[in-house]
Amino acid sequence: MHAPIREKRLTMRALGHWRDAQGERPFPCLTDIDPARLGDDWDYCLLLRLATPLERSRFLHVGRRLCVPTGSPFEGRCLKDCPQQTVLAQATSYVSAVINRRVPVSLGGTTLNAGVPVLYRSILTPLSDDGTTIDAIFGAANYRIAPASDEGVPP
Amino acid sequence: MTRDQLGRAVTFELRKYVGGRWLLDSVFDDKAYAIEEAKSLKERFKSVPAVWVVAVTEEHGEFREATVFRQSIVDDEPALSKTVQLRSDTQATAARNPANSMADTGAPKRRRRSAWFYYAQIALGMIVVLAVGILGFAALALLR
Repeated sequence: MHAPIREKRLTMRALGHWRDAQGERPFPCLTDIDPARLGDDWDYCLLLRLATPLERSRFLHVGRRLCVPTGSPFEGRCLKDCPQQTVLAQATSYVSAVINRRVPVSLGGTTLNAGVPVLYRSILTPLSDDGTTIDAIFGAANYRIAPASDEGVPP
Repeated sequence: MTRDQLGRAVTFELRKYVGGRWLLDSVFDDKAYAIEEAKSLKERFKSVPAVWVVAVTEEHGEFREATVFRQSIVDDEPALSKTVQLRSDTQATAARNPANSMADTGAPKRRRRSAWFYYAQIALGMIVVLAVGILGFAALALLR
């Protein structure tokens, strides 16, 4: 018996986890996101509880790989407190697109992370407790340092 | 954000066919990711018979769409694919030579004969049901 092939890309694994949690419902809810099942990927994930206005939305979880400076806790902080020119800021820059379109959105590109140019790839997925109102966001992002000669292909 | 050769913003929308209509499933800025996710989605969920990836280009507030990938269960079934191919071949032949449209392959003739037989069976079945009904009514009338 063969073990299932593990998806190589973090964002696609995160999307797979969201789809598994979703089942036949329109959206999974916040409690369906299982850190244990995500394993090491949890360090690259984020959970955001949405609020009005949007910039007052609060992080419930920020993986230590997404924190700048590395490892400093960011839970409980608002979206507006997100340090600029970081992968976390880029990965959460299109939350409104996810809310409006009501589907997972994945974006990548180049940015600075703590002053270092990086190539990143991110995904944000909608969560809902009542199956209608999107009240939280589950996301994931990873990055690698962009070599000078790199043509801009995200991880 | 991905841009095309003219510098226009492009996104790739993955759509799925569910419950008789196309629904937006997810949005990517990378074509390869969108196509791979489309394939994965169709493989993982039997309830999704078809997937479609559309490149959406925005220019001056207008959106243009172009199909970059499309796959349905028909593509996975060799027999169905063959039938579709045969049908399109026949249509192409007919378009080229309308007077001789049925001469190139035996398949359309067989299909016509089987269709005739199918409709004859249905008609016969309806006649039998009608006859049984009439006889039933007649029997009830006699009993009263």
